[in-house]
Amino acid sequence: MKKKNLSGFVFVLPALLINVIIILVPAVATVYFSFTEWNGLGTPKFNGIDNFISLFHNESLFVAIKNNIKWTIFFLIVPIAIALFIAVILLFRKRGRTALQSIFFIPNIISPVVICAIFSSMILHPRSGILGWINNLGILSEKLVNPLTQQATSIWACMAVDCWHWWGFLAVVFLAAMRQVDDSLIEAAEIDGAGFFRKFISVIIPSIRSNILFMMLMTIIWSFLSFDYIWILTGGGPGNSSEMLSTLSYRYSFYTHDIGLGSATALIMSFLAGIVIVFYVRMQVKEGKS
Amino acid sequence: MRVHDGKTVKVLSITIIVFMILVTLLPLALMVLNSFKTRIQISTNPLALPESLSFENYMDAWVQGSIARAARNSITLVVGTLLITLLISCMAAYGLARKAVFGWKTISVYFLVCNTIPKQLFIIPLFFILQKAGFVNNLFAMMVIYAAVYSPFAIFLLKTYFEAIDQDIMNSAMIDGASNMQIFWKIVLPLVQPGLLTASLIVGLWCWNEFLFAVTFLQTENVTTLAVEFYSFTSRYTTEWGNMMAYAVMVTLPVIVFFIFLQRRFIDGMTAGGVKG
Amino acid sequence: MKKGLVFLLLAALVFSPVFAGGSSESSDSGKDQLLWLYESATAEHEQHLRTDLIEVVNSRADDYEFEIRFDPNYDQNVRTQLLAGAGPDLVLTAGPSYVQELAKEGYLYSLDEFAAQYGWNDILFPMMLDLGSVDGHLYALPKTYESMVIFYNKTLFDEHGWTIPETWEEFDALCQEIKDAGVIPLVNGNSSWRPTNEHLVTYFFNHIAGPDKIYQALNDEIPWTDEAFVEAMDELVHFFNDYYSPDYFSYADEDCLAVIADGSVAMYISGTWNFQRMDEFFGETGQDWDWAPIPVKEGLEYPLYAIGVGATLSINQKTARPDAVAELLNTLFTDKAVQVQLNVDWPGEWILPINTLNREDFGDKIDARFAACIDEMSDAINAGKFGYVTWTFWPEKTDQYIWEQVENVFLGNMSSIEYLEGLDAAFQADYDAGNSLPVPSSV
Repeated sequence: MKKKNLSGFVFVLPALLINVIIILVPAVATVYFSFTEWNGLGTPKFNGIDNFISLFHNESLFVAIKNNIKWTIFFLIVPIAIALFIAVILLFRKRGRTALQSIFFIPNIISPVVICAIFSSMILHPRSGILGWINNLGILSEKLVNPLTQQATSIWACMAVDCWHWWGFLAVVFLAAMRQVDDSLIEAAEIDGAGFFRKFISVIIPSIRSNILFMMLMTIIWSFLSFDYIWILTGGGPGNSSEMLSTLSYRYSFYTHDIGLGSATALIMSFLAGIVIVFYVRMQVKEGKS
Repeated sequence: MRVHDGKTVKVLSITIIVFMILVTLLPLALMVLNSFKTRIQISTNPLALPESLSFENYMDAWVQGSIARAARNSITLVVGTLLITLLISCMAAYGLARKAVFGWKTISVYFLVCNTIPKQLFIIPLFFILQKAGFVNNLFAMMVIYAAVYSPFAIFLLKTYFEAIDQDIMNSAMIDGASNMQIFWKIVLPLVQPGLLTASLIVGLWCWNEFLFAVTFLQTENVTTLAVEFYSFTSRYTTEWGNMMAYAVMVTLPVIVFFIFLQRRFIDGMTAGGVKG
Repeated sequence: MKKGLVFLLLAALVFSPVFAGGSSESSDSGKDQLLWLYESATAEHEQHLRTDLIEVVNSRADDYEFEIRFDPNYDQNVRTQLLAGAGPDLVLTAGPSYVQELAKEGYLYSLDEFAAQYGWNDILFPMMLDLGSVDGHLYALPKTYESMVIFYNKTLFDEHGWTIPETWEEFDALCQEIKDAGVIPLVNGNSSWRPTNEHLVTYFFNHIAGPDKIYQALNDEIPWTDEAFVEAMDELVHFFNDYYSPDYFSYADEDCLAVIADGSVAMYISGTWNFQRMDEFFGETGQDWDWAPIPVKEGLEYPLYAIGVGATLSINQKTARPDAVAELLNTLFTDKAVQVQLNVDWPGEWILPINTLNREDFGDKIDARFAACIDEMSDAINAGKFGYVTWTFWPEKTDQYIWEQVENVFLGNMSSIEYLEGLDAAFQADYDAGNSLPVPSSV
């Protein structure tokens, strides 16, 4: 039996080895670097918890954490609500359902660099975008300003662009789950005189509750991974108004050349994400057992 | 399912659907429309139809944006990544599915964690280690990185296919004297083949579109991918909007074509995780 | 770093060594192949640099051959390659602070012997040699020097009878007048290059607070919270809010050039590197452009040019042919025909910091407005009357603070004094760590 175990291990070994080299070893190194001062050129100098102290004295970190929280809350509510609503409409109206699913799914397969270029230069730009065109019409008393460049709105504008590409995916996931809901439940509700919203709220949603909760959990995890849209659209600006932990860590490491600070930020971010990941892993392991 | 809702609900839901179609397609329409327009036409009215179907922007973008070279790099990267990823993921999924692996639970948990941790946790030292070793700006190193990052997904996807294989068929084949290789080619492969296709499509798509790793590890012209080259194009030719959109169309078109032909697999593969929970 | 070693061993096993590359290699012709990695450029400019310099150098050499590659990420890539023990033979950096870093870590070849051999010390402006030196040894030659000037729409100015004055007080009045005429007075934009922010700090510091104050502060004689800098920052806020186009964060350099070319904005205060692009943009609208020095606050000497170096040239410590790279540098810095041709073909990019090039050398081959600007700048340096641009004379971390945090001043999150207190702290840290750069005194 022992021998069989080891021979089975050979199958897993290549994947494991590559993963350990690319992910685990550097992840451990991040912990090490977060206690050093290093500009990437010389040798890292151990400096204890200085990086963490300076981070906690740095306003950017708190702005980033706040933005991460805003991001998570937004994505827990807006795309999920749109997706549920559209999915239920598609559930009740069969006509063109497959085509519509595909249309709503398309933004999800387009590269973030392309999406960001379209939004920032064709829609929100004051010279080349729809926003500038509206300004030139002169019908508004006050000119519109690019929301990506206003500190009150920049992070929300990034969320909106990310949401545009994201909700269709959720709608398709939810629709697939809704189609497994027992027809008789819905029919029973109809006999009770339930209208569209009653069916939606009291039959469909409770029936796919576990799917929704799972996607919410994944949303929290994925929101820590968000990087592309902010980095490309605003670079964390203006000021630090749209900074997130991911962009802050990347900026410190690759632009400020302060690898210690970048690693410390990455560590804080991973710690926060780690709390949620523990729930996710426990959920998956439980499911694997049953 | 029969529909028993009133007229208001019907009208309202159709209106909402039409609105969402517009919201979804308008940015894509802008991309295509403006790819045929000059800079001045765009700044006059980005919504106007192009005056003619001139492919000048496409030709300019093709040359200025080094599209031929970048596309070759992207394709090499996707193919190489798929080869490595599928090979290691198949083996691992097979091993894990049989649960015949020492410590399979721990390994599964490890892969689950790898699949979800922020990339910033390992990208920083990874860059400096590879830089020291001279492996930055190296397509092969990039393939290995992608394989590491995407293999957990592929492993869990393929595992369900391996688990579905009836052990009795395998056993009786073995009794009939079939070799391991024969069993693999004749029995296992046909059964997991749909899983392989789905995994290839998803991982291939991710590779094609990937930004963070590509922009960090691939910076010299001989290795940049289309996504990175496009990104650098947008910051070099900030006001060449027509060329930019033509470039965007050329980056996006292959993906859309694949999607149109294989949409069910794309959608099923990408939503698999979501529905399962 | 045991972990690193283990990893390297594993990496060596996993990755095929075939993929590792070297820097210089021999070609079929038996000549040494040498590489220069340059910034990205337009196709025409790339071609000009090849014909005007590279081909000239190659035609004179019998045992080596230069190749030049244009790379938008050259700074990061050069760094990456140097760290891996490779890299281009001729190293272009984005300014003196990068030279300091690289030279201290031993990545650059000392130019002392070549400077003596070719007499570079007599040709280059002394302040420029200082900027390329680390601990008394020369490691880099500044490739071009630059300043900030006002580019304006001359057609628009003539139409309204406006002229750019010499004093800041009159300049403020002019901006108000332009605004009252329904035209946006000034434009700038950081959307494609965020460090553009420091251009504003540079000209407000220099033209309001003045070079003397900056010199004292850079030598740690007065703090950055000095009254003069507070005034400069207050003025910056006033101008940013009242006279600048509100699209600062949406616009890139090209947008700014386009809006002054079409007359919707009157002036663009930008670097002398933009001389090369004026005709391209004004050619599209058929209007005319001109430039003027930036006005100064009362009590400061006019005209004032804040001088800076945006690019330097060094020899890679690892190159097989330091002598060949030095020959290329010598051609660039001493061959007048090459220098003139480069300035004709690519104005603004090749303002070499040397005392041997005069307006007469160009004849009427280059735009008179550009020639006048080069003349005035080199006069200013020769007379020792110049200002300091932030990206050349401020230590790296301080410079980073300057352009990152000033956005918070633009946006009203931070007051002038808060910003300057932070600047002072950042500067003290750099200064105490010995990271400050050589600062030539301006009279």
